[in-house]
Amino acid sequence: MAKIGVKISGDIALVHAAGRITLDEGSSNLRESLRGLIEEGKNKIVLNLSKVKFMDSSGFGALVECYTSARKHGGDLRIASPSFKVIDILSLTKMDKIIKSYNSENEAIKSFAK
Amino acid sequence: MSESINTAQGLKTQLKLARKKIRHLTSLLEATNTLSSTLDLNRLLELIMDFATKDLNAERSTLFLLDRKRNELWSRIAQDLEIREIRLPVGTGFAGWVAKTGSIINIKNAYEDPRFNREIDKKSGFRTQNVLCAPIWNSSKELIGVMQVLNKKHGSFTKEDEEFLIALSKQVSLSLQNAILHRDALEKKKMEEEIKLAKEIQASLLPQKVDLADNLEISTTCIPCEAVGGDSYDVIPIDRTHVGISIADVSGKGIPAALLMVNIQSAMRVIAPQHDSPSMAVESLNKSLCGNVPAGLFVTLLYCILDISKGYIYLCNAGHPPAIFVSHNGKARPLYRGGVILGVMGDAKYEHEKIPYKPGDTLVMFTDGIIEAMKKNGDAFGLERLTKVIEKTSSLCPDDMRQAILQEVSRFIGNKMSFQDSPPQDDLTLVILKYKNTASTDFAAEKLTIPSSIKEMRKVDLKTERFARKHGLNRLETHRLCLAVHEAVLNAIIHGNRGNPKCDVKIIFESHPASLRVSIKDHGEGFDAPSRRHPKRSPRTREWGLDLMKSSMDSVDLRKHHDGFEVILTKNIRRRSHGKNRR
Repeated sequence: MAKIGVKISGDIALVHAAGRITLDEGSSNLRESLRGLIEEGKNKIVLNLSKVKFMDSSGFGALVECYTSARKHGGDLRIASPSFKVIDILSLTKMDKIIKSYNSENEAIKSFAK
Repeated sequence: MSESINTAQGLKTQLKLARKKIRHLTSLLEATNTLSSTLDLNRLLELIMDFATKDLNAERSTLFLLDRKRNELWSRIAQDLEIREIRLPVGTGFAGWVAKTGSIINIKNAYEDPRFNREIDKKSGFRTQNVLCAPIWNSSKELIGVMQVLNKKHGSFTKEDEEFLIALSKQVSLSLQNAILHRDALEKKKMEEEIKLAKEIQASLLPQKVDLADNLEISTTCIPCEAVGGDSYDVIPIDRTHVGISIADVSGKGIPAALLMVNIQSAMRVIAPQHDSPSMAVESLNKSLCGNVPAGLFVTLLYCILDISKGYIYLCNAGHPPAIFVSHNGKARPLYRGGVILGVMGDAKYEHEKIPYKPGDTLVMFTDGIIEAMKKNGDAFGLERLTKVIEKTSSLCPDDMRQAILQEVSRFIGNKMSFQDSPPQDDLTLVILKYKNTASTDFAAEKLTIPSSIKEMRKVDLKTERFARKHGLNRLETHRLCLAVHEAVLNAIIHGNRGNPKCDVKIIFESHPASLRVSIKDHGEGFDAPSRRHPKRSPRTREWGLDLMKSSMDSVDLRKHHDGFEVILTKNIRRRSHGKNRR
């Protein structure tokens, strides 16, 4: 089962998603968590996807939706240490050119300070 | 006193001139109205010349049109004589001189002028005295003709007559241009209609719907590059268990090639039923053609006889690109055996090849238009590329295979449209014959059937991963196959079966020598229009599915069946070292 963890550090929301982010398991959890954060005004989001075992179009759709929404509210959604399957899906959809990814959580957090 | 007489005289002359001008103007107006009433060129020429003759009080007028290609003036009408065509080179005679220089001439005595061509008078028996001749220009200031008026009845042509002829030539110019364009358009239309008819006749000679034995499927197409072409195919029943199939290409295109092709097709229909050996039939055809093929044209042909009861193909190749035989295990082999092109050597000998024909086997015959289809940079599609496409699609039914091949060729040459909408550079002909597979499990195949519930997805993913690993896919390719199958199965559950758990989804995993194929079948009508069928569903949640399948697979084929919809995912097997296989 997918696990979603949220930690707030200053104005940055740090979200950990792990396991299957798929229509049958975790994609709606991820979508709800991210939507909630954006509604609360926490729209600078670092999404750690290092432990994602599988992500399908539904999980990916949630990610893209929340990325768009965060940007619209003046924030951003940045990915930290994506697993190789996440890297592959970003590259297959060419979204790797649009959504920023960082090798580590720290780098992703620091990127918001710039 | 004498002054007033002078004034009276002057007024009289002026009045006379003014009246003449009014008459000319009225006449011009009348001419304009009448001329715009017809588009018939011959009638128009007659009308114009009538006007000129009458208004200038002359004996005869001729309107010459310029034939730019031959640099000649021609006229179809000489009044009072029968209708015939006169032609004279630009530069000779008065009209020729006007055409060359573009200036008007008014000659009082023709016989004293060195430009006069006495020959014309000699031929016609007419005696030319004085001549008024003016050029006709079109709107882009190009000369389109010359108007020539002969023999003023009283005296010679005046300055006013010159002005009138110039004015008339301006008036007739537009009407003439319209009539010329109209004539050209009519001629073109007539030609097009004739070609269209020829095309219909030719198409009707090709067998449209072919029914062979129950276990044989055939798919054919013949797309001419011009309205009529030099390619053809035919299916000729020989007896209860034998059928002849031919495909031929006449060198050259258009009507001459099409005529020869019709000749060959009829000859073959007579010859084929007399032979149970294709090489003998081809030898006989070759003999009958020699001496009848116009110089510079030749014919290539593939002829095969299918023994339906014993399961053999006998094939003879007369200088044609090879037929491609794909056995049920997906391996393709080109067939060349036969002899030289037809119609060149009357005593040429031919041989044929005997190939066992088993369920799942496919025979593809084509003309060079397929392999010689060219990109703008001159790269041809080629036999190798065609063979690959055939191998990749050999598990499809012949109609789908045909479509896939044409699509591939079209994509290769950079066509945005299908060949049906935009004609190819060369005639394209394709005949695909398939011995139907009684079961689709002839390959190394594994099956998984699940109820329509997304709770089954984990099972599907696990099964796909094991299948991919077992057949040697690396980590990245395994992920891509898993992703594509996952998306296809989700679509089948949600859109195809609409989540009805009583409807199942059948997944068949097949391993072929050069590819892995996964077929996902549901009971729906396809998911090509999800937005129409699921208007309330947010497109964001699903729109990546098909994209992901397409970008992660080598091919995604969508097939509609009477009882559902099938997606066939193909992943070519590449044996490369781990981690280096980014596409």
